[in-house]
Amino acid sequence: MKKVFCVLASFVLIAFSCVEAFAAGINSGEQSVLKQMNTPANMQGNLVYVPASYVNQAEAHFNTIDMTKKQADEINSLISQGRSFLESTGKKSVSELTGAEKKKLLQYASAAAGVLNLTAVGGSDTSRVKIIGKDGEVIIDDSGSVIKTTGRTTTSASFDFDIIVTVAGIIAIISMGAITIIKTRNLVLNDE
Amino acid sequence: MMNNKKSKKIKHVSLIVVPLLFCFIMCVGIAGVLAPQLPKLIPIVNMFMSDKQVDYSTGYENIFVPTTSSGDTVNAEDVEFPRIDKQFGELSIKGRKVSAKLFFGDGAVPLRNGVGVYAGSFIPGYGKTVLIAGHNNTYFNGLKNVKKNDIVEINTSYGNYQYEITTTKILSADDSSAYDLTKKEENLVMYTCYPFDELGLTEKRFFVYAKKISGPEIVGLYE
Amino acid sequence: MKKLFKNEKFVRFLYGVLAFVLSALIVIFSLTTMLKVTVFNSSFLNDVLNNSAYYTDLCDEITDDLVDIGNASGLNKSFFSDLIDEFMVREDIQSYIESFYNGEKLVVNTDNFQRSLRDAIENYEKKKGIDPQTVSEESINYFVVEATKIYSKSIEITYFNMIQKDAMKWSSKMLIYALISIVAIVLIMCFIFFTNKWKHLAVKYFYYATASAGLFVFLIPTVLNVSGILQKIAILSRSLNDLYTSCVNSLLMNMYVISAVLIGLSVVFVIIHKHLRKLATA
Repeated sequence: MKKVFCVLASFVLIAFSCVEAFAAGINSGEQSVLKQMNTPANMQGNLVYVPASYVNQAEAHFNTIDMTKKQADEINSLISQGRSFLESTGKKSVSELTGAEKKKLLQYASAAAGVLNLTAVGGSDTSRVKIIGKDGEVIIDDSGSVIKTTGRTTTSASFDFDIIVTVAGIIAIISMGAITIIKTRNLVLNDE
Repeated sequence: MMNNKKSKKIKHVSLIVVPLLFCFIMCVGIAGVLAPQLPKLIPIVNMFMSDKQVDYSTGYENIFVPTTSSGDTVNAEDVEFPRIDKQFGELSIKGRKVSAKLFFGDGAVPLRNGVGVYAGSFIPGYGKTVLIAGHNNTYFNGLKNVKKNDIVEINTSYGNYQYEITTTKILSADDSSAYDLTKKEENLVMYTCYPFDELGLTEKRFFVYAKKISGPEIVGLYE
Repeated sequence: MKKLFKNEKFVRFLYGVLAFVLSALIVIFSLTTMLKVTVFNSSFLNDVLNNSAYYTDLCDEITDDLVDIGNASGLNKSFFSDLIDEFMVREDIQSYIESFYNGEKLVVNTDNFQRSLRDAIENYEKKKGIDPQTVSEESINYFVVEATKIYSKSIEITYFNMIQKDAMKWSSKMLIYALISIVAIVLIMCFIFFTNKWKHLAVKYFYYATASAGLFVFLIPTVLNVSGILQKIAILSRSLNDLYTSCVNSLLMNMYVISAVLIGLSVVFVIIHKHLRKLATA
């Protein structure tokens, strides 16, 4: 079974950005999101999974928030759309996607991020993903690899998705279109 | 006379109204040009906006309050699940010079101040894999002294845990067989860079595996 | 057609349209010129960097990041305390910026850093009495490579490599736009002035154009400031935030200055208009 991390990871991150309210436990909506995240995309016979590390991070975050049913439905719909889109491309792996296809995926992600209060923090280390809630609380701080050297990325294990854009990046998006970002940044993770 | 006054007034008003009108038309024009792009641009731009300014301090929040409770279970509702970069416990191995603050997340803040649970693994008591990282030059230097059957103590606000070391391994940093994040059984994996006390970096990691022997299980997680 | 041009209302409308076009051209000229001398000019960025806390904060950030890998490499904090020299960082960044604006390949010169790092390791070994024979060369090399990556990533200004091509393209476009707009401005002004029987009216159209352009240029930074959108952008590192804040503040200030100049010019036109009108009615 191919274990490819893909743009679906972006939807994982989107799933992180829900209402900031302390609520232990995983409610039914959150459970449905976790189930949706564990469903693979079938790309021409290759099953593309979101890695356990990201599903687990989502679960950990869900323990600190209380997702409404409406939010869960929205997130599920986005993950489902992303998966269907991946399957409809006719490609065997995410790395084969064209720039336009990746752009389409970014549009899903950014539209959802807009709805769900997600903030990506831009920095000089573009291999690192830092997502904060609108209240400034760190929701995710990920360098990509499960095993760290010192808390920084050394070898890229599986994570190359980062939409962390600084001011220059934002200007670049506005002026050149998101495609430039995606072309150079790869929303795609390695095939294993 | 009246007409003259009126026309003078109109002329004066035009000195204010016309520039405002031109300015308004320019704004409308710009908005018109940008309008088709806005539905795409707004969410993207919004994705990089935060209501609060990013905190550049290297400090951290501590939610750890020592407890003496010793039940077999703890209700999820009574657990304050930690967020990234927060200290939520302490980890120690008696007689092995391992004693550190325990954080959630293994980024710069946790590893500068103690040891950190990888956010893609779980906190103690969850019944799954607990993957903890620490520097070999600081808080996990003592891992070089550990032996089989040593007891690892983890104290959190919701319960105190003990794990018994079962084995140690030296593996490559990118060897994903070193841990199993899908395991449905509580297991503790601690690691640090290897070799210890050597100048320079290596690709190797020293892994310490332990099984849970005591501590409350978090119940009522799935509503 | 001739009849139409004899219709005073139509002629006034035509001049009004011309005044509006003139106003838009003045805005384009002002903004393109401003961008050409600021964003698309290496000395602007260098000035911004020199006047902000960028270098100091960046040196601290590089040191912190190096301390992190030092903790996995048997090197403690004190090893890195004097390693990052602000002068070296300054020099490497300036050369990076020059390459960016000259359209050259963007490569960070890490020679000085690597030399300093290797010297520091050698001194450390001597100080601690470590026999170099017992130290794995492979581990040291790996450490140097990783430390150099950190240094290099820090020196690179984020996304510069990505936007370089387009920035160069836009830079030359800015110049063309500025030139075209200034020529058009002069032509329209001449047309309005020389085809108008009443010169005070011609000057009034100049007033309309400059005042509205000034207002519009004033509106841009004001809207950005009032909306607070610029303060809300989340940037991971303090140094990059310094750079961003200084650049944005400088650009906004430039816009206010341009706006003040244009509004000042419009006041002059009003005074001339009134003076000429008095002369005409006398």
